[in-house]
Amino acid sequence: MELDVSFWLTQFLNGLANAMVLFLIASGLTILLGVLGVLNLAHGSFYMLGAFLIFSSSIIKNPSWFWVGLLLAPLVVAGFGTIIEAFCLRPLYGRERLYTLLLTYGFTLILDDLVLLIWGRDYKSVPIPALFEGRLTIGDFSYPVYFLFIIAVGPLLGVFLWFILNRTNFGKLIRAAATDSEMLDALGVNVNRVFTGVFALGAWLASLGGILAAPMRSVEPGMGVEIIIESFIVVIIGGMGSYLGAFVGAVLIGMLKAFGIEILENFAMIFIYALVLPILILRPRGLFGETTI
Amino acid sequence: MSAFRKKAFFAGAIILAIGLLSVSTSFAAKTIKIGVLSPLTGLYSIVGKRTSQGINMAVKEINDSGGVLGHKFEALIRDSETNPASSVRTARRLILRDKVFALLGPLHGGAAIAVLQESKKLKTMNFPWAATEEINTKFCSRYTWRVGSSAQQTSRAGAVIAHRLGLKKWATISSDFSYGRSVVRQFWNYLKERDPGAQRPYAAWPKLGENDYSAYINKMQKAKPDAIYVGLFGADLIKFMKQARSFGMYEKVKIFTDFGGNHVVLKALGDQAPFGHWASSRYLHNYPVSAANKRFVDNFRKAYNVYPDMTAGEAYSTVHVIAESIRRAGVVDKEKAIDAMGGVAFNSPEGWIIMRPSDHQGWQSSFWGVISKSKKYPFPVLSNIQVISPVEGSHPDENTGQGCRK
Repeated sequence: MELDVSFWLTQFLNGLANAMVLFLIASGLTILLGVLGVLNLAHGSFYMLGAFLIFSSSIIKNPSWFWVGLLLAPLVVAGFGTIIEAFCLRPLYGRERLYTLLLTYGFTLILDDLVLLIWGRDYKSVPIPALFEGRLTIGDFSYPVYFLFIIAVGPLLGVFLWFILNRTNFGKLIRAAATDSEMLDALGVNVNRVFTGVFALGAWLASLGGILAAPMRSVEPGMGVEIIIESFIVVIIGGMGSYLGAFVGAVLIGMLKAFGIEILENFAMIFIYALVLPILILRPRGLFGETTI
Repeated sequence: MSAFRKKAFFAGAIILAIGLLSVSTSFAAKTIKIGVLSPLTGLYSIVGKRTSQGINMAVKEINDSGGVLGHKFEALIRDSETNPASSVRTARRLILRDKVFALLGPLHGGAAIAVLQESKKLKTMNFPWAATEEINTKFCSRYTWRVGSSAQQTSRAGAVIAHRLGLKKWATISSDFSYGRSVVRQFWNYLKERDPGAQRPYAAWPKLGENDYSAYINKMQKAKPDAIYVGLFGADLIKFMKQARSFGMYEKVKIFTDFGGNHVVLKALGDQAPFGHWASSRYLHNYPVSAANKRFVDNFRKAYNVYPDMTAGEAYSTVHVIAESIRRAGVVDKEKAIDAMGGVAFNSPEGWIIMRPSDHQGWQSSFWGVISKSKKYPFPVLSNIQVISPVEGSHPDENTGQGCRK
């Protein structure tokens, strides 16, 4: 029976590692929805850009490549997000939501082709950073250190986000903008700047997700579109605008995937939708959401 | 200018125009157009790029040596988009408007089956890139052929090696779609046939494009197999390998990968490749050490500054096989070339390929080898290469061949 304990523990950790990557993307997505009211389909592309940038920095033959990439790449992507928000998204805020949806969808297509142009078509693989190579072994139980690193980073960023939203001036402005941006504007706050900041923060988080995922997954165009679907499910479950909801939703999805294959292997995906369905019917604003979109 | 001279001038101009037109059409008739459907965008665009390069090289070789029966070859390469509907649309345009002689591709199994049915309707020979076995069986017709190995040939050859090594207890993993299923089914059935004592406590079928294989890997480890057979390909294979490596699978079991010998995969994995484990590739740049292969690799590198991968080799051979069928027919005619196709033999970079009349499949050896570091190349290659005869990997005659005469 001892083997079984380590099996279930491994499966639990697998679910958690999966959840943390999802959380990083979904948290940005949900804050954007809550504050800007924008469903940013290009959010997955920021995840992809993070992965491609860490691939580029992995070419540096020095053990510090991962840390350099981890520090710089999200800043680059956040800067890129700032430009998109300020010049393309902002003119559309007053209009129907469909416009922003189309615009951000357009960006997913453009960015998918852009990475092909810049990085070429070859398959790409990012190595595991040397510090996190190998496995943690206790008796029968043996687990990759890198997965543990991902699992640790998720809650850390969660706390960091909580701190920003609840304990800083910027966080106060974000919450105020989410509640009533017109009033905030009337009070003399530059709401546009708050929106840009939120968008950049979302891009920063998503690219961080891409960086963390890259050594375990592949780096390819289209990876953003795939992750955006799962992240959106997380947002629906957790509730739009709630980053705590994003955390809980991501963990639920991660666990369903990990344990779902144990119960009904070929139908593991069904469990996810089976969870979404009653939530949409019984609690359309999600587990922690305050408003419906 | 008198009215008469004006009329004469116009008449002359018209005659000249007609003359030019007929010259240009007769000029056009002197080319044999090959339509190509490959994924030029999206996830598998590396395949599109390499197949295009292989095709362009073959076309250039044929034209440089004077063409076929006085005709030049011309390749019209189009994006297949992996979507059956748009693949069929592009195929129709190539056949009806561009009047291509033959159609190559597409790669994706579903799109390939849709396109081969359309080519059959429009009476144009079609060489899908997809390796799905159904192309030689259920969906085969007079117009459907394949030069590259079928999934069946590679997987059965894998079973031969597996049996030779005496590995008994297996787990398998492959994507849950027709090609992925067929790879593992062929391997497992053939191994069972040779070794009834072989067992398989676990078979995993993740979805195509799955990102996280850790839950499947955990189940595999629980089953405690001696070896695993991996039918995943492309980016999925790379993801799986990296995750299997971090869970320590490289040390615990023997790994067989059907697609893992492909140069683009080994190059991407680099130091994280499963060294010492078995893999196959339908074409290898380092084997066989023949004049034909050496010339192909040298020219390819000269032209594109990369090593040809599996799909480049197959695409290159396909164009040459079409040229050979026209030479054999002795006349540039779509139907006569098909009549001459069965039995065409081509000394390809991977060795002789003979087009089998019964199932329209190119008969060729399969290669399995051990993934190794190399002094000669800056990326992993296959070594200790085992050549498995086409007899082992072919479709048994009684099951196939009937469909292809339709």
